[in-house]
Amino acid sequence: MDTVIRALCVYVFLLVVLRISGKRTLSNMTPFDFVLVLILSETVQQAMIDDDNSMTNALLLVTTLIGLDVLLSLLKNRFPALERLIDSTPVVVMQDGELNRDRMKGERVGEDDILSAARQQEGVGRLDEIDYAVVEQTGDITIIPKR
Amino acid sequence: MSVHDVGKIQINQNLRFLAKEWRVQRLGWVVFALLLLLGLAGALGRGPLTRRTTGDDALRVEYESVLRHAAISDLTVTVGPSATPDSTFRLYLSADYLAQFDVQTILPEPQASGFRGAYAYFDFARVDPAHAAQIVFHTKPAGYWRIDTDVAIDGKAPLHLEQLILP
Repeated sequence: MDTVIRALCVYVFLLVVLRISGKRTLSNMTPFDFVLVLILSETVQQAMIDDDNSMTNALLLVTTLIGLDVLLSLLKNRFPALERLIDSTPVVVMQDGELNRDRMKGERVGEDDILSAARQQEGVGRLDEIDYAVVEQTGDITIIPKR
Repeated sequence: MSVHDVGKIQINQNLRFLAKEWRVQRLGWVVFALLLLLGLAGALGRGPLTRRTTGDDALRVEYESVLRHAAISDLTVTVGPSATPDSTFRLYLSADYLAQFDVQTILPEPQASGFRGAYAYFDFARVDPAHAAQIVFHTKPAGYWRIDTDVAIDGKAPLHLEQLILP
């Protein structure tokens, strides 16, 4: 019982903390973000397993975490408001070639982030060649160049 | 709000929701900062803010008022020379304490131990009757939330400890 409750607490806590930290926190991983993910996993692992290293505990933990994920995906499908709450919505930060500074500030996106995405996705090197830039729910930036 | 047109593209952008989300995120960052400050100050255990001392020269207990589950902590009992003239003394701890804490070590080791009523008792020899005897319990909290413990010696009113074990 303890294991399931621990896994549930850690799952919900991570969900809330990562949601509050913003879409961009773990998107487009830099080497440091990668290290951060490793540290996070190591930290929460201790809290979940406590001092029970048995296989039963591991199986129970995996089942709980995957089960929660499946349950949440089912609920998100059923209730769009929940999906919005958990996954947020995409946001257009550049429309018809015009940057929207308020939305960029809200999502902590800079011109350099947009240019970086434009170079990687479209081979475009200038802001005036971009028509639309969208920060997706995953935190990635999608670029639509001017045609 | 479902998919709709924003300029030339179709997207399920919801600006009202996003404005709320950004406000909540900023508020969340303030909560993060407060939690960090509380942690740094030791209010969440293992710090000066939660270290407590109760009792007098005859019987004094030092303990942490906020503990963390499964993190080792100390309970230090000092029995002064005025408490008992004998070369041995008996220390009582609520039996509940042993149910909520795994006692890792007791320093010095008791000569005898057992249960009497709602208490566990430990008999210790006093090395130097002229000086206070100090007993340290290294314990690992096994329970959660609030724990009430009485610590006593014969002939003295018990000291009451309130501890909070964080998950």
